[in-house]
Amino acid sequence: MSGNLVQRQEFAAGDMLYHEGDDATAMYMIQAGSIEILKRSTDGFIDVTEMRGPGQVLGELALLTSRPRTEGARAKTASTVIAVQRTRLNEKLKESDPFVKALFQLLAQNLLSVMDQKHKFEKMASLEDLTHNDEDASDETAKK
Amino acid sequence: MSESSRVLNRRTFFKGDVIFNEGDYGSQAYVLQSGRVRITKSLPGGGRGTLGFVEASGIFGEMALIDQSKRMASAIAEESCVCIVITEDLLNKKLGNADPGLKMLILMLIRLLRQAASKTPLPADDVEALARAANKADHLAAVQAEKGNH
Repeated sequence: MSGNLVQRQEFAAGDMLYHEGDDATAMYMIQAGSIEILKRSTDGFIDVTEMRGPGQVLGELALLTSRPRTEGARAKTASTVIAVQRTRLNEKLKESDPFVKALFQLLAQNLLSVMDQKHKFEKMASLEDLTHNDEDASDETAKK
Repeated sequence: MSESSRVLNRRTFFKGDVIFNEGDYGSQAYVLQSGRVRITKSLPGGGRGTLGFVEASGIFGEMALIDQSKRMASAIAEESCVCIVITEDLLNKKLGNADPGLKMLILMLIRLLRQAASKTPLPADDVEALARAANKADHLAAVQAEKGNH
């Protein structure tokens, strides 16, 4: 099984897909269920920073590097994911035409930077929400 | 090799030349051999923003070529540029020879990139298709490896 480029994996509610600090070994696409993205805050508590659902990806860092995970991921409900294994991916890329390899790397890099920017925008938006709420305490936009 | 070098063709652009425009239907991707290309996108409120720059040896314009949708951004020569034009034929040939799982993953990345902009997740069918394509490829490889052993 470990030889497959992608494999279907099932997680029960509460199972960890990976921990913050783990080496990035796989990218996941969610087929069913919902996954919580976890981050250790400066005071040592683990916060749920985001939720992802079917059709969304997580752990995309693993497409490019094995750097340690900057966040953890936990199944909130029973979930089915498709895992793309980095070691297998590297083998396939090594055998590939240089153009295909470059194309893949370009797309993966773009995805990473898009996700990164999206997070920055979301963070900025939530900061704006915060300051907004500060000005108007009766405002009920504090969804998150 | 000789066939693909016939397909490869080189184009020169000068500073300020538009290589392609957002919204065009594209049938070519480019490998930048020398120079620098600015990628811009029109902003919701009007005006244009720069998404980034492509430096020598970078690829751009690949998205519209692969999934036949409109160009998501414009490409403008920031200085004199020499580009190798990748035609749809050549790209299909290269992707056709690629591992099916890898090919699926590449198509998936493109759709994810397009969808990241609109914030909608991929349909479940797409995820399922990737899983099936990759497993089929691995299964075929395993069968072939086994045949080789006998």
